[in-house]
Amino acid sequence: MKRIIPLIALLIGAFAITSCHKEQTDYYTTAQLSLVVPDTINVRQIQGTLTLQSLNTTLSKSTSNISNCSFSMQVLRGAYKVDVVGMIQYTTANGKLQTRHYRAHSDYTPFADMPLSSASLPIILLDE
Amino acid sequence: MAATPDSVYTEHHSVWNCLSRDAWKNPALHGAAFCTDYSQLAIDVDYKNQTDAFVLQKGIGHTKYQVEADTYLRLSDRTAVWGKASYLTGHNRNIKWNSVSDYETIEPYILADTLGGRTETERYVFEGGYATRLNKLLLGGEMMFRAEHEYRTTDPRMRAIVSDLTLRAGAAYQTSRYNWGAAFEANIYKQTDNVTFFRETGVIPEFQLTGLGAIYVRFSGEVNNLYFNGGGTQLYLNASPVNGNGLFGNITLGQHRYERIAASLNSLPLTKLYRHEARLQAGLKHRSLHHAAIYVDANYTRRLGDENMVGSSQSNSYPILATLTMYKNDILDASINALYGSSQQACWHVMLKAGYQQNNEKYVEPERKMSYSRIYGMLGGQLITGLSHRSTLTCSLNATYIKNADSELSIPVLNTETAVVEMLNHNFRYLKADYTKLDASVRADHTLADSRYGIFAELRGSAVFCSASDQEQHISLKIGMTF
Repeated sequence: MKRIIPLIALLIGAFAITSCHKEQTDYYTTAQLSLVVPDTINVRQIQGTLTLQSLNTTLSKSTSNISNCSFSMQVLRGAYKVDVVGMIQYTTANGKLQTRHYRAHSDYTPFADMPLSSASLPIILLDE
Repeated sequence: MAATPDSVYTEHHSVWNCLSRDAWKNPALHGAAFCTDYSQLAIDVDYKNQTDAFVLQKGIGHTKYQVEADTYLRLSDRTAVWGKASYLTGHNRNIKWNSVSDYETIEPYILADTLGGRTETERYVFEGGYATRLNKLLLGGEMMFRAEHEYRTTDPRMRAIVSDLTLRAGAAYQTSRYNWGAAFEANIYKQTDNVTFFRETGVIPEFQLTGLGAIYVRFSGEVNNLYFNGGGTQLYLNASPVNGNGLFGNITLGQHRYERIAASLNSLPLTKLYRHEARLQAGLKHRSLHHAAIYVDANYTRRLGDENMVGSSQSNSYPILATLTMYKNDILDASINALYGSSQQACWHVMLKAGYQQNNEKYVEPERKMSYSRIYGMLGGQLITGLSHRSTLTCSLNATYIKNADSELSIPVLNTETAVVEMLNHNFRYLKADYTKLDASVRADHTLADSRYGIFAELRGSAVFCSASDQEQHISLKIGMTF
């Protein structure tokens, strides 16, 4: 019996070690998307809406909260399709003030790093 | 006055054995389970039909034919061997939202489509065990192997091949009053799945389900070649009274994991299901002129599902960006049981059971929840009586009532496919229902004159009445020989 008890303790210990599974609960990250504007213009004001569509679930999430050409919002970690549409007011190199629509798009951008996941996208100025 | 039933048959078929089934999972204790040899060769046909599927993924019923050989032999006072071999063939009817085998083992991480249909199935099972005694030490080992093939001969043509190997080793130490046992089990599981369509115009998407109607959209559609790698370990601890009277207890701890891998995407792992189980059976049994036992039976299962968030493919290799535990399921089933009877002339027992079940399922984002709880009660009895000195009759009758106590289904309908919502609502309708179940069986055994051989026939039937206005009939007929 004295030999059996350590054997049982060993079995329970070995079982406990092999059966451990840690829940992966770091679900969310702050996705930060910076818009890259052409260096020939000087941004005075920018507005827009960022839409992130999860490639895994196809669910979409949007924000219009933009600051210094950068959006940020909390999303489930994963891979996303990115769409940005908005308006930008800028001055050209010769000092002319212009307001135009712009858009930015990416079929695949990962937002998985913790706690902040950053990406950048160039904007395309649309015809006036 | 009725004749005394065959003592060997009674030893192996008495419902009193249900008190020891958990202990006998330890092969060392299974070696000391019976004092007599008993072997049985049988063929049986089993038919089940539901007026509407209680669970769409399981279909509305089946017709199955089986040949089975089962034996327990004592080689000496110290040593016993046992074994089983069976072959089953048949079909399952009207399965929907399920293109895999072993649904209960690997759900919710399955491949599924809306069409489904009848599946053909065949299964081979081989089991064998050996146990011996070295003074006060009992040692035993056993092996169980199952190979299963399930397929459909019309579109969508699913084909699943399962191999499932379990090895178990156990030991027990006998003191003056108790056998103290421990056993360890290892399981290796593999299932390969594929779905093909012969009619090009009839191709429908195969969905990668991820729990409570959530779909892994990115890899749904044409990713129809999967395999599941799985397995796990189980630990059994037993305290079993040597003379069969006294307190007894069995603890089972288990963990299993099943990984779903997309074969056609360079063996990309999509999801992994973890199942942790704990089971306790403990009580008091006493056997003299009359038999009486009271015991509790509690099972707790926690299932966690990890989803891999997969990045963009580079040279057909997909990076895994993150692994998130998106699916959680807790299942509790606890009951208190009583058994009373006698085997002085005829062997008879009555059983009483009252229990509680709770099931909570959750999908994290977008949040989905499903839960239900039930209370249930069962009253049953078994009678084994001798018809003549060579014939034995066994009758059993059980009545069960399951009452739903609480239920909830919460799904984001706008973000869920309409067909999936219908599927969830259908299954939930039956999960929250109340059930009345009656099952009865009659078996007649006849020993041939001047021979150790016998023949038997067994008819078993059950009816389930569901408060959702549907019902199930189940009937099986088994004939065979014993020796």
